Amino acid sequence: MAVRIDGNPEPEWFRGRLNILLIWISAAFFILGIRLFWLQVIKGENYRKLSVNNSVRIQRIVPARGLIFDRNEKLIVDNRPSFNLKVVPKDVDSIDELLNNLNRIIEIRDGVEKELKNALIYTPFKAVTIADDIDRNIVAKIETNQFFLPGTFISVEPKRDYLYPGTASHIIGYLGEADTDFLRKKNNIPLRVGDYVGKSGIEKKFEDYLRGEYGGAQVEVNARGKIMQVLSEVSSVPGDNLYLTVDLELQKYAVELLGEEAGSVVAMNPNTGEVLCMASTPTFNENLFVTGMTDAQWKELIENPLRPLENKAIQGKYPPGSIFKMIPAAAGLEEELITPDEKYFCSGRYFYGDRFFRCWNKYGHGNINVKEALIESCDVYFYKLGVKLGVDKLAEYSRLFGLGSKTGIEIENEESGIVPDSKWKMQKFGKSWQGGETLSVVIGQGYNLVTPLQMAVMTSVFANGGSLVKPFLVKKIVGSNGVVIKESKGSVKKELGIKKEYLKIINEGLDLVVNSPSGTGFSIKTDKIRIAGKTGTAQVVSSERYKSSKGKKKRWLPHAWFVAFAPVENPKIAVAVLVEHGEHGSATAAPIAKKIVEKYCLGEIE
Amino acid sequence: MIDKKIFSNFDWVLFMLIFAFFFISLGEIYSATHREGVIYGSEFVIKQAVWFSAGIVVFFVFGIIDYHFYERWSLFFYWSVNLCLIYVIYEGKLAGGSQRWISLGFMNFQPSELAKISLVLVLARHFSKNLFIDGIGIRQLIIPIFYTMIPFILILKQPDLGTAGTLVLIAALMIFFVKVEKKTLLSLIGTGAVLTIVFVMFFLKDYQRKRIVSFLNPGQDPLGAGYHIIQSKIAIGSGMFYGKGYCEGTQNALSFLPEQHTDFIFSVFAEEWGFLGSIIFLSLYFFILVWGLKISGSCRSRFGIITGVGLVSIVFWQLFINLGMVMGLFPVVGMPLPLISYGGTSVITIMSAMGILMSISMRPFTAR
Repeated sequence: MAVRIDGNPEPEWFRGRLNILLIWISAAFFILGIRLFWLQVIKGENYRKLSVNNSVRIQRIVPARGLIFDRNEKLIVDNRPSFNLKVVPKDVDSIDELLNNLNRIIEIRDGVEKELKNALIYTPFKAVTIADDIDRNIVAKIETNQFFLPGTFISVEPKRDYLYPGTASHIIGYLGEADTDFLRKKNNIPLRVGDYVGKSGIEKKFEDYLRGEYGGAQVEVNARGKIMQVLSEVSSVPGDNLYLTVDLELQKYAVELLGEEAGSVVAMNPNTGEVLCMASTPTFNENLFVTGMTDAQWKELIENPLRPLENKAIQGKYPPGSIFKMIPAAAGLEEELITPDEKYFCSGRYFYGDRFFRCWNKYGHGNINVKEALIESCDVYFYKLGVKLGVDKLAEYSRLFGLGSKTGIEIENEESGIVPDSKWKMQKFGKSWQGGETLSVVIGQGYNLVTPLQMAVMTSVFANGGSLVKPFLVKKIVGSNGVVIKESKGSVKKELGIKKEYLKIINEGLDLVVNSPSGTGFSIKTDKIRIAGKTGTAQVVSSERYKSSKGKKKRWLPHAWFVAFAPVENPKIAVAVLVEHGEHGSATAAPIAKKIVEKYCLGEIE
Repeated sequence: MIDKKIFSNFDWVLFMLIFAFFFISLGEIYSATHREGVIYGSEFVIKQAVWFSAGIVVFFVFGIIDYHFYERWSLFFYWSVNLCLIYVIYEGKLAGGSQRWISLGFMNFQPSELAKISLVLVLARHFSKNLFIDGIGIRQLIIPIFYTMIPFILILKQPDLGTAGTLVLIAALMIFFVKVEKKTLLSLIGTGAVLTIVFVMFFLKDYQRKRIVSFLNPGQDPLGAGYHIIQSKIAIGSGMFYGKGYCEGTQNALSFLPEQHTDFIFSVFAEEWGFLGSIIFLSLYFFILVWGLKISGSCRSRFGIITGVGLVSIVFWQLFINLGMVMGLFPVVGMPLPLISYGGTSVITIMSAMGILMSISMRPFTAR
């Protein structure tokens, strides 16, 4: 039975407790003292040796960046070993002497002397890179002269190697040195200034997958900074490998077909959204960003009027021209403003407001229905349809087909283009919508702007029977251990709810654009595969101005468009081709689309 | 509340001991932030001097106030600190991460540090009314454990494993002091061990578990904590018997830690002053603890005695864990060395504790 202490405290009782406490605290100090004796007296000599020159150090091991393959598992982005000359400032006898000696072997960039002298004070044991990606011959020279170059060592690190430079440049993107902002954000990763990280395209978007995990080694070095032994090592983990939806052969072919022209070819699987190729010309050599380029090379890249760094497939905004007509046709039918057989008369021009709006064929198309209007790309038919629809209805349907918003493809800086309507104009210009402007919009010549990728997505809707697919580039992400981390199989699809019978009528029209002699795309008709398509010629200046130039000024020539899908019976590919200032869709863009279709479906190259 | 007579009882020994620590602290922070004749961190020395000055003010304010005042207000302090802890968690959630401090403009104030003192006061108040000659049993442990668990859980949520753990150790030492029945003590140790294992297995964050693993097996994390421990051991060991001399240490040049002037400052000291200096340094710590227990022993009020022991245990656990960690005996947890490590929060907390100790020391005979 415990006795409660009441009344005054009993000094004796407390003294006893305090003494016990004192014994325990003494014991703790005794342990600390013994430990000190062990470390400083018994093992002291040992540790003193290790402390001379701070001989136990950490070395970082850079992971190999993840590889990138195409859809057929063909390697397109690899790593190669690169040799970097590094110096630990504290291990150098004299910085001036070292740089003198080094200068006889290799050209040292300016500023290294100052950098080393600063590092000597603040981070004397952290290696400074003084030359990177050096030639093997120079590596050999440095190694044979090692005796005169104390404190230096060669570190072998993986460097990015783009195996097909200038082919899928805009998809893959490039690397660049990490900026301080990025380093701050990723402060849990041992990244340093000067490390290369993804700066655009897939390389940027999937940076966290591709980078891999840094490793390191605890090493013991001698007085000259030579590694005597590795105490322990954590190996780096290579980054994850990416498998693209892109077919490298098709991509290569698309770039080849565009040739000297500035333009874009986008091909995708209309049912899944897999992007089969996404070319943008002119391209650039991604390797230049890794090896470093001269000022002249950089200047050429940014000052080239054809804008090689721009990914025209997602960043180029163009008026769609006549390929847009698929949308008002669908809208008119679905809204039941026209019937499939209802005919309008085209005399070659149409009077609206206070002036005439011309058809491209000044002789007129006569009495035609919607299918024929698509086949012959009759403007007057669509003028009349446009008036019935009104711009806001037209805008509603444009948005339904994915225009005016980003498709959501993985890579950054995608443009959303413009879908004009009365509200948009009021916001933008503070003026109300004019009826005549609807007539320009309905034939794709107004304020409307689209990207080639958006056109491929729109075409896919017709090819797959009415759903909007989300295009994507990365099919599979596989860890370095072979485990599949992520896999996409045709992602988000949105049923647009347009009646199949109406889509069928439009598709018949698109079929006959190519396969009937009166069609604007008849020139690419082939017996090998049945292609459906639509031509487009998007004026960039007024027709008067264009005619007065007589085609002498290339920058005044209209852009050439062609969208297609094939085979008609069971579409496997949807293509959008844009050739900047290519004049006529049927002449420049259509043949490219045809060759892409043939190459993909039949495996042919002419 | 303030009696002029108390100044004749001014505890010069405690005061001079504290000054000795200030002197060592400034000297070592200077050395730790100084390299090859270049000072790259003179602001650390100046800032620490400012903290110490503020600490002296706090020390006097807490010393002048009669400690019975703390007894009366202990529950209020205790719950106010808990509210601050809840506020910090809530703020941290808003900021989208973990946060440990409340910004006062001129300094960031960590309520978790104050929790140590408020816990000591509230436990001392409780025990002063519930003492048993043969020790307390399970039933009498419920309230003290309850008092400990509330701030413990709140601090764990921040998450600050080091401070939360210290809280439990401080409480344990106080409970041990007021005596626990033998069978209760044994069963307490048993459940404690089981709970610790469960806790380590299920409730620790990855990085925290990593630290423990790296301690048990330094080869496991040679780039992080394992490397820090090795470097710290090399620094201490290389001091050998006489040390390398003031400002002659070389290991701090490695910048193996951003914490060499904070948590790892003893490794700088031991390298420079060797075994001889380190033993003197330890003796100084031992002396201040013994002096604290002496103050307790001379007090006639139960609250005063138990509070004195609690305050001593705050200093004791922090220095024991810090030194043990730096010497490679314990895993690396964030724990400053009292009165030595750089940092305002630690200085102010320890100085408030010392101030209360001073208050007890100056009033040995004022029984309630």
